[in-house]
Amino acid sequence: MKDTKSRMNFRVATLVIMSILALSLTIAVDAHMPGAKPLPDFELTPIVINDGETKMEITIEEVGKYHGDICVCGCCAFRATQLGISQIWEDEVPARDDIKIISRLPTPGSKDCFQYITGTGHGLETNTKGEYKMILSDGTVVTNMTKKNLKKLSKHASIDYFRFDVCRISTGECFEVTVKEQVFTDGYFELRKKVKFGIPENATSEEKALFKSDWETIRERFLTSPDWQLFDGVEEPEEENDVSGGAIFFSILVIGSFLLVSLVYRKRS
Amino acid sequence: MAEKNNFAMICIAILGLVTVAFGLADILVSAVGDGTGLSILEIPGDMFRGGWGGFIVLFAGLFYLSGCKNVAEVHNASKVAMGSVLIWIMAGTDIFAMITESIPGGEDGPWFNSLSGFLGTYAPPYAPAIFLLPFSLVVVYYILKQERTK
Repeated sequence: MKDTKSRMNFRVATLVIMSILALSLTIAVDAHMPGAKPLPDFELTPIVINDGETKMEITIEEVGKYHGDICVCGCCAFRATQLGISQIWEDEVPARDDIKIISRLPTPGSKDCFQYITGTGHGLETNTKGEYKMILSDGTVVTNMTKKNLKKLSKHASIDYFRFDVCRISTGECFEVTVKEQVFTDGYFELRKKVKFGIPENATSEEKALFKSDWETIRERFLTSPDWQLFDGVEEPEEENDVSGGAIFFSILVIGSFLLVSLVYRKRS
Repeated sequence: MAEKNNFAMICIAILGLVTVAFGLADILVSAVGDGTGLSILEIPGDMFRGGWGGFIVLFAGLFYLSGCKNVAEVHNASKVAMGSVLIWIMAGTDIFAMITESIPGGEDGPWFNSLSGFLGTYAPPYAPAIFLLPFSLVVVYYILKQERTK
């Protein structure tokens, strides 16, 4: 009798442990990329804002810590906000409560990033708060921003979802940040659908490995590429001419040609 | 006189080795397909300028090496002169490209370039043939001088 009871207890305990392990694994796969390479070397300047009287610098590391990982969507949201702020406020430091962000990307990574910047996220102690809205491409305003709902909404995510409006509330001025298609690898969104949602069928182990490598590549691009390579409407900065180097070479060329010609004429005469 | 010839041989041999190295670098970089630059030196990576041009530079180097032993002899002198001519072809086209590029103001710009744009076109980095050009001129000057003193 005692033996049967202890066996039963053992089975229940095993079941509970297995369930917890399975659940934790699901969460990990859902939010982040298990087994992803460590972050590449990168230098991203922080986003500087005024939170009331306090000037604060928000780094990508802080955003990553808040979200749990530095992921593709988080990096994209961070870079998009940086660009939007630089386009609208230029050299000014924006006040947090003057920033409004409208995102079309329903993913937890981008949501946590935007909420962290605008100070609208859970567990954030801020003096002021900006505005953050999630409005899908079809005009649907997302109010339920739970991980489960965002996962459902992001099922058919494509390049069209990677658009964000960064606005200055006081003036009504907005800048639309649109991610360039070439930032994503070929077939990335189809692969994502397969790997994350099993649509139209479950991904093979090769496809899962390919998705992981694509995900790492895209994250690296968001961390290391300049704005003009990532976003539409940003012009490539013109390279500054090395005038002195050019002048030296041009002088050598002119003097050299003159000497050569004079040498030839001198020999003839 | 023999000492002078030895010195000339060493100089032309060094020039030949450097030229061969540049030629091989041109060909290898073109085979990889991506141009590469080391501050003031730029090795072109396209098939025409890098690949075909690399062969020309390589053969210039081989001409130098095969003619360096007794440059006073007319056949060797002509090989060295031939090597120099090949360098002039490459460097000449590079410089001509620079000159033509420096005058107009660019695709969407004005007809004529600005002064800084004009001078900027002549800024480094340069292809290997440009670096070899002054030495190739000195070598030919030396050969001509020797021929006249004979």
